[in-house]
Amino acid sequence: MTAVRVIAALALFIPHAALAGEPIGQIKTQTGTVFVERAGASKPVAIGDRVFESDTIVTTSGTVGITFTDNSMMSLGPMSRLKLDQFKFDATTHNGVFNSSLQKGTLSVKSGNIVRQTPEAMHIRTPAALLGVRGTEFVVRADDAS
Amino acid sequence: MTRLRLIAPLASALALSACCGPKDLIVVLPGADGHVGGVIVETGGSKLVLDKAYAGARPGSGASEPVDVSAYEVERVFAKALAARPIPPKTYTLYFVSGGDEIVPESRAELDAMLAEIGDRKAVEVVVTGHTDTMGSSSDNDRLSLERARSVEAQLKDTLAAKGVQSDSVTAVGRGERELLVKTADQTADPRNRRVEITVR
Repeated sequence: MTAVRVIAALALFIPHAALAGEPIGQIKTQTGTVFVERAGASKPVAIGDRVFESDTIVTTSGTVGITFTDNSMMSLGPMSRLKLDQFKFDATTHNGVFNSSLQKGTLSVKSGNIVRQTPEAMHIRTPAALLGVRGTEFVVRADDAS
Repeated sequence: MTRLRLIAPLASALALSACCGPKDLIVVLPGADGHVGGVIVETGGSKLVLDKAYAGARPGSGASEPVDVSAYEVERVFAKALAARPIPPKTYTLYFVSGGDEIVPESRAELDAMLAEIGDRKAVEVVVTGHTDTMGSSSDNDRLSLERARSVEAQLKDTLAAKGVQSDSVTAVGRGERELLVKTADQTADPRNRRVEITVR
């Protein structure tokens, strides 16, 4: 009976842990209303909140700036949607991969340690193009109607 | 009458292309340190390499070469995204009295500058990174650098907490001998490479 309870409790915990994972970055600037879409739900975010792999960051009238654990930075203008598709970073070796999709809006990027270690280990997809990043600072506008 | 009928659709087609062409735009900016790495833009089978400041691509325009984009257009289109950029991470380097946990007097000022920087930021994270010289095996140096970083993290714990930095925002990392401040041959003792860097972000 006890064993069954322990297994049931574990089963409850495992899917949750698998969903959340480690934080990949933190919100450092925010104006107006900014949402994160995570696991099918949308909720407002504020300075200090962590972001995770697979999150979609959404701005309406506001803006948001995020610093990631490899020291790369991204910020979004109003009316933007950015999906953080894949982020892996080994803090010891600096090996990693960072793939995201700007579905619409404006994005400012400064690449970090992932790209310094491995040029083009960072990609950004827009509805019209695929960007391979060698560094360091650039801006992207994507039109979801194109 | 016939001529007018022909002109009207032509005029509206021209107006459409002027107002509603593809808006996609990618522009490489000059880096704060003058370094420009570049961005490769793949779109519908073609590939543009943007490797200079203000080199741009307009996917959907059909252009086969990068275009020059003015600083004025960048400011007009991206002002709000650029204004939302986080403060860049800042790194401070500490040196230690040989073989000990005590920082050398010269590093005291760095430590104070680091603590002042924390006060200037919201939502601060602190990463303590240990580095070694090339003496010993690389796996030993991974372990040594992590131990040194953890020791500094422990020493700073109360000071950082007093500054309002949450404990889950402080991490220790060992980079071993991967990031030498001064390039040396293997098996070279060099105190300049035995250091701890503290990044505030």
